Amino acid sequence: MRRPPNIPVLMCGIAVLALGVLLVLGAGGTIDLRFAYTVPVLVAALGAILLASGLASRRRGRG
Amino acid sequence: MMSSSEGEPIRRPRLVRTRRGRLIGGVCSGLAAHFDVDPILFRIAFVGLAIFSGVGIVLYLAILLLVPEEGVSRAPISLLWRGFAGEQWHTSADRRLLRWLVIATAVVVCAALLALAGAWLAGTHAQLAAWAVVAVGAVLVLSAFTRTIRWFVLPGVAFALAVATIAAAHVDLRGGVGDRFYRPQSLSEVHGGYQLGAGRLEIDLRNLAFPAGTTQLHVRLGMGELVVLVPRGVCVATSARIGGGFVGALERRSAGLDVNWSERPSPPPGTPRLVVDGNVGLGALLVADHPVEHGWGGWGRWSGWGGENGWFTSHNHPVALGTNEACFPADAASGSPTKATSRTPAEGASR
Repeated sequence: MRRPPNIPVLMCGIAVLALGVLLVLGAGGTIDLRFAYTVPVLVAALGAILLASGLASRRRGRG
Repeated sequence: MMSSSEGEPIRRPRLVRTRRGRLIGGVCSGLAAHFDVDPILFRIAFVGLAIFSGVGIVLYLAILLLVPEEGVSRAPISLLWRGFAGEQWHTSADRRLLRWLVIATAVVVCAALLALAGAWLAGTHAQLAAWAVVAVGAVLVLSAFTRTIRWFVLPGVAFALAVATIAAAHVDLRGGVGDRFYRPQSLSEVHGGYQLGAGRLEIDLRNLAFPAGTTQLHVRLGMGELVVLVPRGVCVATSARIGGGFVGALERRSAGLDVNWSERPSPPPGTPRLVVDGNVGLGALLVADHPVEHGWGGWGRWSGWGGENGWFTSHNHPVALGTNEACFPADAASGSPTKATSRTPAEGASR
Protein backbone atom coordinates (compact mmCIF):
# COMPACT_ATOMS: atom_id res chain seq x y z
CA MET A 1 0.00 0.00 0.00
CA ARG A 2 1.21 3.46 -0.84
CA ARG A 3 2.36 5.46 2.20
CA PRO A 4 0.60 8.77 2.88
CA PRO A 5 2.69 11.94 2.49
CA ASN A 6 4.47 13.52 5.42
CA ILE A 7 1.95 16.27 6.19
CA PRO A 8 4.25 18.80 7.98
CA VAL A 9 6.86 18.54 5.19
CA LEU A 10 4.10 18.84 2.60
CA MET A 11 2.71 21.98 4.27
CA CYS A 12 6.22 23.37 4.49
CA GLY A 13 6.75 22.75 0.79
CA ILE A 14 3.43 24.34 -0.15
CA ALA A 15 4.25 27.40 2.00
CA VAL A 16 7.69 27.80 0.41
CA LEU A 17 6.16 27.30 -3.04
CA ALA A 18 3.55 30.00 -2.34
CA LEU A 19 6.26 32.33 -1.03
CA GLY A 20 8.27 31.66 -4.20
CA VAL A 21 5.29 32.62 -6.37
CA LEU A 22 4.93 35.87 -4.38
CA LEU A 23 8.64 36.56 -4.84
CA VAL A 24 8.41 35.90 -8.59
CA LEU A 25 5.50 38.37 -8.82
CA GLY A 26 7.47 40.88 -6.75
CA ALA A 27 10.64 40.51 -8.82
CA GLY A 28 8.60 40.93 -12.01
CA GLY A 29 7.06 44.15 -10.72
CA THR A 30 3.49 42.78 -10.63
CA ILE A 31 3.19 43.41 -6.88
CA ASP A 32 5.14 45.69 -4.54
CA LEU A 33 6.69 43.29 -2.06
CA ARG A 34 7.17 44.82 1.40
CA PHE A 35 7.58 43.60 4.97
CA ALA A 36 4.04 44.81 5.67
CA TYR A 37 2.74 42.07 3.35
CA THR A 38 5.40 39.37 3.66
CA VAL A 39 5.50 39.15 7.48
CA PRO A 40 1.76 38.32 7.86
CA VAL A 41 2.07 35.78 5.01
CA LEU A 42 5.04 34.13 6.73
CA VAL A 43 3.30 34.03 10.12
CA ALA A 44 0.17 32.53 8.49
CA ALA A 45 2.34 29.91 6.73
CA LEU A 46 4.04 29.09 10.02
CA GLY A 47 0.64 28.69 11.69
CA ALA A 48 -0.50 26.35 8.90
CA ILE A 49 2.64 24.22 9.28
CA LEU A 50 2.22 23.98 13.06
CA LEU A 51 -1.45 23.15 12.69
CA ALA A 52 -0.69 20.44 10.13
CA SER A 53 2.05 18.95 12.30
CA GLY A 54 -0.27 18.97 15.33
CA LEU A 55 -3.07 17.25 13.41
CA ALA A 56 -0.61 14.73 11.92
CA SER A 57 0.85 13.80 15.33
CA ARG A 58 -2.66 13.47 16.78
CA ARG A 59 -3.64 11.14 13.93
CA ARG A 60 -0.47 9.09 14.51
CA GLY A 61 -1.32 8.86 18.21
CA ARG A 62 -4.81 7.61 17.39
CA GLY A 63 -3.58 5.11 14.81
CA MET B 1 5.44 15.59 42.04
CA MET B 2 1.71 16.47 41.87
CA SER B 3 -1.42 14.99 43.45
CA SER B 4 -4.43 13.58 41.66
CA SER B 5 -7.99 14.44 42.67
CA GLU B 6 -8.05 11.30 44.83
CA GLY B 7 -4.91 12.39 46.63
CA GLU B 8 -2.62 9.88 44.93
CA PRO B 9 0.69 11.30 43.82
CA ILE B 10 1.16 11.57 40.03
CA ARG B 11 4.68 10.93 38.78
CA ARG B 12 5.66 12.89 35.72
CA PRO B 13 7.59 10.84 33.16
CA ARG B 14 11.30 11.62 32.98
CA LEU B 15 12.10 14.51 30.65
CA VAL B 16 13.58 13.05 27.47
CA ARG B 17 13.56 14.00 23.81
CA THR B 18 11.04 11.63 22.33
CA ARG B 19 11.50 9.76 19.06
CA ARG B 20 7.81 9.36 18.35
CA GLY B 21 6.09 12.51 17.09
CA ARG B 22 9.24 14.56 16.75
CA LEU B 23 9.66 17.22 14.07
CA ILE B 24 13.30 18.18 14.54
CA GLY B 25 15.06 17.04 17.71
CA GLY B 26 12.12 15.80 19.80
CA VAL B 27 12.37 18.76 22.22
CA CYS B 28 8.75 19.95 21.98
CA SER B 29 7.26 16.46 21.90
CA GLY B 30 9.46 15.51 24.90
CA LEU B 31 8.41 18.57 26.90
CA ALA B 32 4.78 17.90 25.98
CA ALA B 33 5.01 14.29 27.15
CA HIS B 34 6.66 15.41 30.40
CA PHE B 35 4.02 18.05 31.18
CA ASP B 36 1.16 16.05 29.61
CA VAL B 37 0.06 18.78 27.20
CA ASP B 38 -0.19 19.05 23.42
CA PRO B 39 3.23 19.51 21.69
CA ILE B 40 1.73 22.24 19.53
CA LEU B 41 1.76 24.58 22.56
CA PHE B 42 5.53 24.23 22.95
CA ARG B 43 6.06 24.51 19.19
CA ILE B 44 4.12 27.78 19.04
CA ALA B 45 6.03 29.08 22.09
CA PHE B 46 9.44 28.19 20.62
CA VAL B 47 8.61 29.63 17.19
CA GLY B 48 7.20 32.80 18.76
CA LEU B 49 10.28 33.25 20.94
CA ALA B 50 12.53 32.57 17.94
CA ILE B 51 10.81 35.16 15.74
CA PHE B 52 10.47 37.96 18.26
CA SER B 53 13.74 37.72 20.16
CA GLY B 54 15.81 34.78 18.94
CA VAL B 55 15.65 33.30 22.47
CA GLY B 56 13.61 30.38 21.13
CA ILE B 57 16.52 29.12 19.02
CA VAL B 58 19.00 29.37 21.92
CA LEU B 59 16.56 27.68 24.31
CA TYR B 60 15.82 24.90 21.81
CA LEU B 61 19.52 24.21 21.22
CA ALA B 62 20.20 24.26 24.98
CA ILE B 63 17.48 21.66 25.67
CA LEU B 64 18.67 19.66 22.67
CA LEU B 65 22.16 19.43 24.18
CA LEU B 66 21.17 19.05 27.85
CA VAL B 67 18.29 16.56 27.65
CA PRO B 68 18.99 12.94 26.66
CA GLU B 69 17.14 11.21 23.89
CA GLU B 70 14.55 8.56 24.72
CA GLY B 71 16.30 5.26 25.48
CA VAL B 72 19.70 6.93 25.98
CA SER B 73 21.03 7.57 29.46
CA ARG B 74 23.29 10.51 28.68
CA ALA B 75 22.66 13.94 27.16
CA PRO B 76 24.57 14.98 24.00
CA ILE B 77 26.55 17.53 26.04
CA SER B 78 28.02 14.76 28.23
CA LEU B 79 29.13 12.91 25.11
CA LEU B 80 30.84 16.04 23.82
CA TRP B 81 32.44 16.57 27.22
CA ARG B 82 33.80 13.04 27.23
CA GLY B 83 35.16 13.62 23.76
CA PHE B 84 37.01 16.75 24.89
CA ALA B 85 38.32 14.85 27.92
CA GLY B 86 39.84 12.25 25.58
CA GLU B 87 37.56 9.37 26.63
CA GLN B 88 36.39 6.74 24.16
CA TRP B 89 32.93 6.64 22.62
CA HIS B 90 32.48 2.93 22.51
CA THR B 91 28.84 2.02 23.22
CA SER B 92 26.29 1.82 20.42
CA ALA B 93 24.27 4.60 22.08
CA ASP B 94 27.36 6.80 22.06
CA ARG B 95 27.97 6.13 18.39
CA ARG B 96 24.31 6.78 17.53
CA LEU B 97 24.41 10.06 19.44
CA LEU B 98 27.65 11.06 17.76
CA ARG B 99 26.23 10.31 14.34
CA TRP B 100 23.14 12.35 15.18
CA LEU B 101 25.29 15.30 16.34
CA VAL B 102 27.35 15.21 13.13
CA ILE B 103 24.20 15.14 10.98
CA ALA B 104 22.55 17.94 12.98
CA THR B 105 25.66 20.12 12.72
CA ALA B 106 25.92 19.45 8.98
CA VAL B 107 22.24 20.38 8.47
CA VAL B 108 22.62 23.63 10.46
CA VAL B 109 25.81 24.57 8.55
CA CYS B 110 24.10 23.74 5.26
CA ALA B 111 21.11 25.95 6.29
CA ALA B 112 23.42 28.86 7.18
CA LEU B 113 25.34 28.57 3.89
CA LEU B 114 22.13 28.33 1.86
CA ALA B 115 20.71 31.37 3.68
CA LEU B 116 23.84 33.37 2.80
CA ALA B 117 23.70 32.18 -0.81
CA GLY B 118 19.99 33.07 -0.96
CA ALA B 119 20.64 36.57 0.42
CA TRP B 120 23.39 37.18 -2.13
CA LEU B 121 21.34 35.78 -5.01
CA ALA B 122 18.28 37.85 -4.06
CA GLY B 123 20.40 41.01 -3.83
CA THR B 124 22.01 40.53 -7.24
CA HIS B 125 19.58 38.43 -9.33
CA ALA B 126 16.12 38.88 -7.78
CA GLN B 127 14.22 37.03 -10.52
CA LEU B 128 16.54 34.02 -10.41
CA ALA B 129 16.35 33.89 -6.59
CA ALA B 130 12.53 33.93 -6.70
CA TRP B 131 12.46 31.02 -9.14
CA ALA B 132 14.98 29.18 -6.96
CA VAL B 133 12.54 29.49 -4.03
CA VAL B 134 9.78 28.01 -6.21
CA ALA B 135 12.12 25.12 -7.06
CA VAL B 136 12.96 24.57 -3.36
CA GLY B 137 9.22 24.50 -2.55
CA ALA B 138 8.64 21.93 -5.31
CA VAL B 139 11.48 19.74 -3.98
CA LEU B 140 9.99 19.89 -0.48
CA VAL B 141 6.52 18.93 -1.76
CA LEU B 142 8.06 16.03 -3.67
CA SER B 143 10.08 14.91 -0.64
CA ALA B 144 6.88 14.80 1.44
CA PHE B 145 5.66 12.00 -0.84
CA THR B 146 8.96 10.19 -1.37
CA ARG B 147 10.10 10.65 2.29
CA THR B 148 13.70 10.76 1.12
CA ILE B 149 15.30 14.14 1.91
CA ARG B 150 13.52 15.29 5.06
CA TRP B 151 16.77 16.89 6.24
CA PHE B 152 16.37 19.44 3.43
CA VAL B 153 13.42 21.13 5.22
CA LEU B 154 15.56 23.39 7.45
CA PRO B 155 18.08 24.47 4.75
CA GLY B 156 15.25 24.95 2.23
CA VAL B 157 13.21 27.13 4.60
CA ALA B 158 16.35 29.10 5.60
CA PHE B 159 17.05 29.79 1.91
CA ALA B 160 13.46 30.90 1.26
CA LEU B 161 13.37 33.18 4.33
CA ALA B 162 16.68 34.82 3.40
CA VAL B 163 15.46 35.51 -0.15
CA ALA B 164 12.12 36.84 1.17
CA THR B 165 13.85 39.20 3.65
CA ILE B 166 16.19 40.63 1.02
CA ALA B 167 13.35 40.96 -1.51
CA ALA B 168 10.97 42.63 0.97
CA ALA B 169 13.68 45.13 1.96
CA HIS B 170 14.45 45.80 -1.73
CA VAL B 171 18.13 45.23 -1.07
CA ASP B 172 20.30 45.78 -4.14
CA LEU B 173 23.75 44.32 -3.54
CA ARG B 174 25.19 45.46 -6.88
CA GLY B 175 27.85 48.14 -6.71
CA GLY B 176 30.52 46.46 -4.61
CA VAL B 177 31.20 45.64 -0.97
CA GLY B 178 33.30 47.57 1.55
CA ASP B 179 33.77 51.09 2.88
CA ARG B 180 33.62 54.01 0.44
CA PHE B 181 34.31 57.65 1.20
CA TYR B 182 33.71 60.45 -1.31
CA ARG B 183 34.49 64.16 -0.96
CA PRO B 184 33.44 65.72 -4.30
CA GLN B 185 35.13 68.97 -5.25
CA SER B 186 32.59 70.10 -7.85
CA LEU B 187 28.84 69.69 -8.39
CA SER B 188 29.43 67.81 -11.64
CA GLU B 189 30.79 64.90 -9.57
CA VAL B 190 27.54 64.77 -7.56
CA HIS B 191 25.12 64.58 -10.49
CA GLY B 192 25.75 60.91 -11.28
CA GLY B 193 24.80 59.82 -7.75
CA TYR B 194 26.48 57.18 -5.59
CA GLN B 195 25.79 53.50 -5.11
CA LEU B 196 27.21 50.69 -2.96
CA GLY B 197 26.07 47.09 -2.49
CA ALA B 198 27.01 46.48 1.14
CA GLY B 199 29.18 48.31 3.66
CA ARG B 200 29.58 51.95 4.60
CA LEU B 201 29.11 54.75 2.11
CA GLU B 202 30.00 58.28 3.23
CA ILE B 203 29.64 61.35 1.03
CA ASP B 204 31.06 64.57 2.41
CA LEU B 205 29.54 67.59 0.64
CA ARG B 206 30.70 70.18 3.16
CA ASN B 207 33.40 71.60 0.89
CA LEU B 208 31.03 72.21 -2.00
CA ALA B 209 29.66 75.65 -2.87
CA PHE B 210 25.99 75.12 -3.73
CA PRO B 211 24.35 77.58 -6.13
CA ALA B 212 20.90 79.07 -5.52
CA GLY B 213 18.19 76.69 -6.68
CA THR B 214 17.79 72.97 -6.17
CA THR B 215 20.56 70.37 -6.40
CA GLN B 216 19.63 66.67 -6.42
CA LEU B 217 21.72 63.92 -4.85
CA HIS B 218 20.76 60.28 -5.53
CA VAL B 219 22.29 57.74 -3.17
CA ARG B 220 21.63 54.00 -2.95
CA LEU B 221 22.93 51.39 -0.54
CA GLY B 222 21.92 47.72 -0.36
CA MET B 223 22.92 46.95 3.20
CA GLY B 224 24.90 48.94 5.78
CA GLU B 225 25.32 52.57 6.72
CA LEU B 226 24.93 55.53 4.39
CA VAL B 227 26.09 58.93 5.64
CA VAL B 228 25.66 62.23 3.80
CA LEU B 229 27.47 65.19 5.37
CA VAL B 230 25.86 68.46 4.29
CA PRO B 231 27.17 72.03 4.64
CA ARG B 232 25.47 74.55 6.89
CA GLY B 233 23.77 77.33 4.98
CA VAL B 234 22.04 74.89 2.62
CA CYS B 235 18.39 73.98 3.11
CA VAL B 236 18.28 70.17 3.08
CA ALA B 237 15.25 68.20 1.91
CA THR B 238 15.36 64.43 2.37
CA SER B 239 13.34 61.75 0.73
CA ALA B 240 14.23 58.19 1.65
CA ARG B 241 13.04 54.63 1.48
CA ILE B 242 14.44 52.19 4.05
CA GLY B 243 13.41 48.53 3.84
CA GLY B 244 14.38 47.90 7.45
CA GLY B 245 16.44 50.14 9.71
CA PHE B 246 16.83 53.77 10.55
CA VAL B 247 16.71 57.17 8.85
CA GLY B 248 17.96 60.30 10.55
CA ALA B 249 17.97 63.64 8.75
CA LEU B 250 19.37 66.43 10.92
CA GLU B 251 16.77 67.01 13.67
CA ARG B 252 14.31 64.31 12.65
CA ARG B 253 14.47 60.53 12.70
CA SER B 254 12.41 57.41 12.13
CA ALA B 255 13.04 53.69 12.37
CA GLY B 256 11.38 50.37 11.62
CA LEU B 257 10.33 48.33 8.60
CA ASP B 258 9.14 49.82 5.29
CA VAL B 259 10.13 53.35 6.30
CA ASN B 260 9.11 55.90 3.69
CA TRP B 261 10.46 59.28 4.58
CA SER B 262 9.79 62.60 2.89
CA GLU B 263 10.79 65.89 4.45
CA ARG B 264 10.60 68.82 2.08
CA PRO B 265 11.21 72.14 3.82
CA SER B 266 11.39 75.24 1.65
CA PRO B 267 14.31 77.66 1.66
CA PRO B 268 14.03 81.45 1.78
CA PRO B 269 14.58 83.07 -1.65
CA GLY B 270 18.20 82.93 -2.77
CA THR B 271 19.15 80.11 -0.37
CA PRO B 272 20.52 76.93 -2.02
CA ARG B 273 18.48 73.78 -1.56
CA LEU B 274 19.83 70.22 -1.56
CA VAL B 275 17.43 67.31 -2.11
CA VAL B 276 18.86 64.02 -0.83
CA ASP B 277 17.08 61.10 -2.46
CA GLY B 278 18.21 57.99 -0.57
CA ASN B 279 17.39 54.31 -0.84
CA VAL B 280 18.71 51.82 1.74
CA GLY B 281 17.64 48.18 1.84
CA LEU B 282 18.70 47.18 5.35
CA GLY B 283 20.61 49.61 7.55
CA ALA B 284 20.72 53.34 8.14
CA LEU B 285 20.65 56.59 6.22
CA LEU B 286 22.07 59.59 8.04
CA VAL B 287 22.08 63.16 6.88
CA ALA B 288 24.27 65.18 9.24
CA ASP B 289 26.17 68.44 9.30
CA HIS B 290 29.11 66.98 11.23
CA PRO B 291 30.90 63.60 11.25
CA VAL B 292 29.00 60.96 13.21
CA GLU B 293 30.29 57.98 15.13
CA HIS B 294 29.64 54.94 12.99
CA GLY B 295 28.90 51.32 13.78
CA TRP B 296 26.56 49.94 16.43
CA GLY B 297 27.89 52.25 19.16
CA GLY B 298 27.08 55.31 17.10
CA TRP B 299 23.69 53.93 16.07
CA GLY B 300 22.73 53.44 19.71
CA ARG B 301 23.74 56.98 20.53
CA TRP B 302 22.17 58.96 17.74
CA SER B 303 19.07 56.82 17.27
CA GLY B 304 18.19 56.80 20.94
CA TRP B 305 18.21 53.00 20.99
CA GLY B 306 20.40 51.03 23.35
CA GLY B 307 22.79 52.81 25.65
CA GLU B 308 22.26 52.97 29.38
CA ASN B 309 18.48 52.56 29.15
CA GLY B 310 18.68 49.27 27.26
CA TRP B 311 17.49 48.24 23.82
CA PHE B 312 14.14 49.25 22.37
CA THR B 313 13.78 52.35 24.52
CA SER B 314 13.42 54.72 21.66
CA HIS B 315 13.44 58.07 23.45
CA ASN B 316 16.56 58.09 25.61
CA HIS B 317 18.13 61.40 24.62
CA PRO B 318 19.05 60.78 20.99
CA VAL B 319 21.96 62.81 19.66
CA ALA B 320 21.05 65.46 17.07
CA LEU B 321 22.66 65.04 13.68
CA GLY B 322 22.53 68.77 13.00
CA THR B 323 20.12 71.61 12.35
CA ASN B 324 18.37 72.57 9.17
CA GLU B 325 18.74 76.26 9.98
CA ALA B 326 18.87 77.47 6.36
CA CYS B 327 15.22 76.46 5.80
CA PHE B 328 12.17 78.32 7.08
CA PRO B 329 12.10 77.53 10.81
CA ALA B 330 9.46 75.31 12.39
CA ASP B 331 6.96 76.91 14.77
CA ALA B 332 8.88 76.80 18.06
CA ALA B 333 5.74 76.81 20.26
CA SER B 334 3.92 73.88 18.71
CA GLY B 335 6.78 72.10 17.04
CA SER B 336 4.75 72.03 13.85
CA PRO B 337 6.16 73.37 10.60
CA THR B 338 5.38 76.85 9.37
CA LYS B 339 3.21 77.39 6.31
CA ALA B 340 6.22 77.62 4.04
CA THR B 341 7.59 74.29 5.24
CA SER B 342 6.07 71.02 4.16
CA ARG B 343 7.31 68.08 6.20
CA THR B 344 5.60 64.77 5.78
CA PRO B 345 7.64 61.95 7.29
CA ALA B 346 5.66 58.74 6.94
CA GLU B 347 5.45 58.13 10.67
CA GLY B 348 2.58 55.71 10.18
CA ALA B 349 4.85 53.25 8.46
CA SER B 350 7.58 53.51 11.04
CA ARG B 351 7.98 52.20 14.54
